[in-house]
This record gives sequence, structure tokens and C-alpha cells, in this order.
Amino acid sequence: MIEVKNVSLTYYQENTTTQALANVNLHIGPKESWVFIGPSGCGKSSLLFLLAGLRRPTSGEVSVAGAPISSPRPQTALILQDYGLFPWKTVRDNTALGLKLRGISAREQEAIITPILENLGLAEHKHHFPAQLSGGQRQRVAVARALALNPDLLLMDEPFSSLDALTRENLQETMVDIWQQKGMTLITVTHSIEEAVFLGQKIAIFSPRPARLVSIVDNPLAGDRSFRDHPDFYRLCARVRHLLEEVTR
Amino acid sequence: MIKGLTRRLMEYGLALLFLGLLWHLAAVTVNKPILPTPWLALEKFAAMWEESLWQHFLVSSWRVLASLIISMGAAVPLGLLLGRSEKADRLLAPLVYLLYPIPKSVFLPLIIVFLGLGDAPKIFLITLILFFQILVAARDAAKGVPQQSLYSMQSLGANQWQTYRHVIWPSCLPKILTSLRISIGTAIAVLFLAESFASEKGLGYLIMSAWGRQEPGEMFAAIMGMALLGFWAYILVDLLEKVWCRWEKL
Repeated sequence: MIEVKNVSLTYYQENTTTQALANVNLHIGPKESWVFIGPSGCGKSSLLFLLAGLRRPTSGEVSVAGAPISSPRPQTALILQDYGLFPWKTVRDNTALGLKLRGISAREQEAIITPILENLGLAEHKHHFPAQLSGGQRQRVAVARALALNPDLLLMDEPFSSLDALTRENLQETMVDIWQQKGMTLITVTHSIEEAVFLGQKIAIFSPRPARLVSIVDNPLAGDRSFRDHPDFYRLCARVRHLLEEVTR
Repeated sequence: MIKGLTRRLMEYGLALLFLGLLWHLAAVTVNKPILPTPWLALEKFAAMWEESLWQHFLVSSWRVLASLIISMGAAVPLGLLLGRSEKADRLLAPLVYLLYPIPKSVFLPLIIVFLGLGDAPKIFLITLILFFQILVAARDAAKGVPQQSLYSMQSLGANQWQTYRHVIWPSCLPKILTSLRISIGTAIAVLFLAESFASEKGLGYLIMSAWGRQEPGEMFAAIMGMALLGFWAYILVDLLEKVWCRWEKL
């Protein structure tokens, strides 16, 4: 699904250069769930933006579904931590925005988004603005908008980091359900170890800036709803924590 | 809704009464014909309204409204473009910075020479002044649009025009309306200046001519007309805000 070959990214801002990524190689198969974890500000989000086609690597190559990527791809959806939703649009309009931009008729938009909003428990909030919703509901709207485009690749940049613990776990479970039902490729950037272990079949651990891929942890139990209560969950969390501590040292 | 409106009206009525009382006290204290009591001015206002005041009021209102519309129409798109396009900004920002601080009203004689004595010179001068105020506000607002919002749009497959329409314009609108609200004060001050000078119509003309004829009652009737003009302009911006920025007041 995704090939990242020898990718480095350097950006220039007001006379300073920052190297965000150094020689990253990745192979991500279809329908896999990956998590990128690393110290905050390390450049893992930059990698996500490369996969989304929003940035281009300074050197190396990124291809998605067999084609090198240079601009956003219609079947890729992106969910951001903040500012992804537009406060001046209602839940309905936010959810249907991607469809509207693609010139899909209002009636078809309605047919696509109604079941999605219902599944996410947002049907009754259709005509509300984001400011009238709780944090968890808002991120559900972001999820709904992504799903409306029926993506085969879903990218999430610290999607739940501003939510309280229970809301956050609840949404992680929702994401796992969606991922399993739709069979899409899911990539989540996070700095939460528990989130990484719950969501990621593969957990890619990155070093501090410039981000280097340090190790990939296999996690076959990811996506099992009862995994959180399992002793293996804690063992794996401990392992990821040690690996992270090693790279930051 | 109706109840809220009645309460609002009551509040405004009370404020009006309070101001009238202050005015009355001032008039009684000064005790000179140049400052009549509010009741005298109100009488004059009622008498003059039917006769000719409404015409002057309409002329002045049209001048302000036309200036607001033209300056918004020109300054908002350009300001948003400058705020979002580094190339355009680098090219035009120095020009804006040099022109913005010049007091445009000094060009009034020149404008009158070229545009005459009718509506055109007034509308031109007010528009010129408002244009820069709104331009700078729109540009700064557009600069503040979070990169994340733009990424979000891009990843949804939006083109440039769609990004302006769905993100940049709505997110800058509250700040643009605020600048418009502030500009109204300037617009009316400039209107007075432009109308008091080589003019035959408008509230500014009326104030100056009443002053010349030593008719303080008429002068204050025209001043009340100016206040009314400012008031409707504020209400208009308020209404625009209510309709366009409903999401902000939640």
C-alpha cells in the first residue's frame, strides 16, 4: 500500500533549516494499522503529511497504492488534532464538505452522510455547530467527514490527544471497529503509549529530531476490544516505553 | 424573541432618556443660544423632517452606504489575497504601508476639482479612507488562518477558490466586520467634512448652513440626523454579523 524509500525532509524557515526526517524506509501493507510514535516535535507528523501528499520529501520517494505521490490523493483521508473542523459549518456541512468539493449533488451527499452520522451517534446534532458539541463529539465529526470520502487510507495526526481518558478510549474503540469493518489502511501519529499499543498492529518508534525510524514493534493483538484488560497489553506498553526511553536518552 | 426585543428597546429608550437629560443639563448650564435644549432640537427635527431633512438624510445615507459597499468589495478580496499570497504581499505591502498613514482627506480639494460637487467626490473620499482600513484588517486576518485548516482543505481535494470560499473568507469575516464597525465612525466624520465643503445637499451641508445662518435649532436637528445615520449603519453591521457569523456567538 505504502512505500517510503530513503526519505529525508528538510525545511527552510526564516533563514534557519530544520531537518525533520532522516533516511526513513517503510513498507506498509494494505489493511494494516500502523502507529508512529516518538518524542513530541520529532517530525513524525511531517512523515504523515508526506503520506497525505501535503508536503514533498527533500530526497527519497513516497508512493501510495503503486503511484508516487506529489499531491493529495482522493482516496486518502486525513484527521487532524485541531482546526480540522470548521466552526462556521454545521455538523452536516462539515461532514459533507469533501463530497461537496467534489461536486456531488446535495441529495447524494445526504444519502452518504446520513448512515455515517447515525453510526457515530451524531444524527441528532446534524444542525449544530462544532462549538455546541463536546470534544469527543467534535472528533467524531472529523471521523465522519473522513469516512464520507470512503477512503482506503486513513491518516490521523494525534487525533484524540485533547480528549479526556474515557472519551479517548471510547473513540479508539470506534476507530478499531471502523478499521475492521471497512478494511482500510490506518496510520495514527500519537505520543500516547497506550494509544499506540491499542491501535497499532505495527508500532514504528521514531528518534528525536531529525526523526529516524528506530524500530518496529509487532503487535498482533491490536484491535481486540478486550486487549486493554489483558496482561500482555501492559507488557507491550512497558516495552514500547523502554524503547522510547532509549531513543530519547 | 419578542420579549427580548421589547427589553432591548426599553434599554435603548432608557439610554436615550439619560443622554437627553445630560444634554438638557448642559444646555441649561451653558445657557447660550448655540446650545439649545434637546426638546427644542427635537421640535425642529420633527418640523424639518417632512420639509427637507429627510432628503438630506437620504442623500447622506446613500453616500455612506455606497462607500461601505464599494470599499468592502474592493478591499476584502485584495486583503485576503495579500494575507495568503506571499508574492502579492511582498509586491504590494510596501505600497500599502506608504499610503495607509497619509490622511486622505487632504486630497478633498483635488477630488472636488476632478469629480465636482455631487455624490461622486464624497463617495470617492470615504471609500478611499475605508478601503485602506478594511484592506489592512482583511490582510492581517487572512495571515492568521491556521495552517492546519488549510491542510485539512487540501487533503479534501479543495482548489484555491474553494479554499477561499469555505475557509479563508468565513474565518476572516468576524474581523472584517469589526473593522467595518470601526470604519463607520471614520466614514461619518469624513462625510461631514466632505459635505461641509462645496456642497448643496447632505446633513453636513445642512449643519454648516444652519450654523452660518445662526440657526442652532436647525443645526442640532441635522446633528441628530447624523446620529441616526450612524445608528442605522451600526445596526446594519450588527445584522450582517448575526446572519453571517451565527457560529461565533454560540
